[in-house]
Amino acid sequence: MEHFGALLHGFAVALTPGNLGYAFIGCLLGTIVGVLPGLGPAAGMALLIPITFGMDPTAAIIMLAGLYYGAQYGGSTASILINTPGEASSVMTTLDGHQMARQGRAGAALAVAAIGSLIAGTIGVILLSLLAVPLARFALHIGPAEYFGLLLFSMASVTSLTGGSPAKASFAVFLGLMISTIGIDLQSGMARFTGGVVELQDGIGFVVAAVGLFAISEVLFTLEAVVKGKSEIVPLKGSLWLTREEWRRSRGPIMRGSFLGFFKGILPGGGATIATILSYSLERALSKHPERFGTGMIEGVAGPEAANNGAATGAFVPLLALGLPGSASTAILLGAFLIYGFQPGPELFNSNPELVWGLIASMYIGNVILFVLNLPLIFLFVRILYVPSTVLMPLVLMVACIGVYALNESVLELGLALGFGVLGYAMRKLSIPIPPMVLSIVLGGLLEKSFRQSMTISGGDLDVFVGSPIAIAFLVLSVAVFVLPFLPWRRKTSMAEQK
Amino acid sequence: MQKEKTRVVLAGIGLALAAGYALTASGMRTPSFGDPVGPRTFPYLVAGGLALSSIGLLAEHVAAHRRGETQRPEGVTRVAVVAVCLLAGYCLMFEPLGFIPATAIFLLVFLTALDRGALARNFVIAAVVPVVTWFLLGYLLGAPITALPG
Repeated sequence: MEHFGALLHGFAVALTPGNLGYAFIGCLLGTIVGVLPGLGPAAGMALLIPITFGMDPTAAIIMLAGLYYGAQYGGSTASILINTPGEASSVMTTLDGHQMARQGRAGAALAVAAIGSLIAGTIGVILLSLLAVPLARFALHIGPAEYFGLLLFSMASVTSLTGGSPAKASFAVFLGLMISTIGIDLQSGMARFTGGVVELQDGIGFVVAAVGLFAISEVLFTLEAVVKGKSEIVPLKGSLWLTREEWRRSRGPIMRGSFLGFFKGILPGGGATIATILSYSLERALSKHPERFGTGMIEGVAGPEAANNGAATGAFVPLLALGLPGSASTAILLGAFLIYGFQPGPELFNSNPELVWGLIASMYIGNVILFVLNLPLIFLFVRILYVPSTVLMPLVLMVACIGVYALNESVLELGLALGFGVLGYAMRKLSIPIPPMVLSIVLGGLLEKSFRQSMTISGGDLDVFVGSPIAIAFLVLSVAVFVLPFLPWRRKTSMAEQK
Repeated sequence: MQKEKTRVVLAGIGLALAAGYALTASGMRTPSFGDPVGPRTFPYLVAGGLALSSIGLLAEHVAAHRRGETQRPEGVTRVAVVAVCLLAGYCLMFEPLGFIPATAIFLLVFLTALDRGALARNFVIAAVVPVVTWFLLGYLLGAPITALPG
């Protein structure tokens, strides 16, 4: 009952003209970002954050969140029409979505993606409203040692579930942790690893790293793809709706995908991408005609698209309740919270209820906005795909530079972003996953802080990390998740997924 | 057939980084009160983790070699090198020239490098986009980008 009252208050916050407007702008920008191949939601949010400085923090967070789940909607458009996913979690949609487009059913594919996203997003927000507070209350019982174990579990999960090489993923994690230690150590006041450069005493901002690792490196990769060969765009003609038979076949996959995606999204690691893979595999396993998957089966679009949006919403549960991001995109959102002076976690529900419940309420509204945007305006969004990438990509680089410079008016940070861009490009070439690195840049400071707080409380005794059942459970889970990729059956699955 | 040595090279870089990082951390002083761990311990742990990851890469290299895997990563392409050089030049021009001239030059050169056949279009984009962008972001939204030098 108390949640219901808080949610009503949240709607009062979200339905103010200003916040409604920012939710709309976020959803619109997110859809555009999702439609454009080469720019993912993480890059889009990293580019947008500097522009939100000076805004009301609640409005800024609502807009960023709108961009995040809006990108999940938009990603399916490029997957269906040009067989190129707008972002990683839309990869599975290309398998059957593009085939449907080739058979003249692009409209139905886009419609089922939009409907599935609406239903999954709405179910997800309802579950988020119900689960976030109990989880936040549980989190009030955990101290620095338990929090250290929880952070370790989060990072171990992302490391083991991203990509096929555990060594490369952990290499990325420790590289990120190294970067997170640059700057003034707040507990001793000592400058660490700054090389005498005064500007580095504040550390390397995660926005600088994120813009470089995501936006700039993605542009470099997209330019390479463009130079290699053009993508063919299937023209969008005909009805933007489903037949009765197509709707009957889509209902089950949408419902299954919604719940599967949401509960997968709660777990750190892999984000929405793994949720879509699981959903596609489930629908193929349940189908009477599994051999037809990959030839234009609507179930192969409905399930993954619902799972995509369900996971995007589920990821907000650990983010808001525990302050734990489970993916690169939610790591960027966490960074945004921190920049505005908010620490996501159990205390946020008490200290800033209007922010939390306003955000949750805006997600209900955002799902409706996206459904309204995506179907009637789809022809407009499709026009974006006809803008040559050779024009778009330099403009994206321009926006990236503005965003980084606007942070602190620092040419050094522009250079750092470029350096991270080159690093991100090299990492992609060498198949070293980037999300674990971004996660550790964002979480590294918190990890060290909880470690040192625990050691201070215990007077230097390491037993503090196994001093409670919760701490032991998180440590055991961390080890188990880290060992998972080395198990023979898991390695075979991972290698098959990579192919 | 030349063996794929990416993991070996990465491991070497990782071990060198870990050693340098730990060596730099060893020069930090630990306060005599309060914090029993000090500013060095976490960096030591990170260096240890990086070293272990590098050893893991070597183990993966051996395992891949035994499986006969020879897939090499794609090389660096000319377009990426050109893009990075142009972006570096843009970063250096950003303050001395001001946003509008620096961006106009950057866009004109970049767009022309990617598509020489659309010179007129490139000129129009390079002339219009920086002005419109500065007006929207710099003037209306107050982003701290100076339109012109000085």
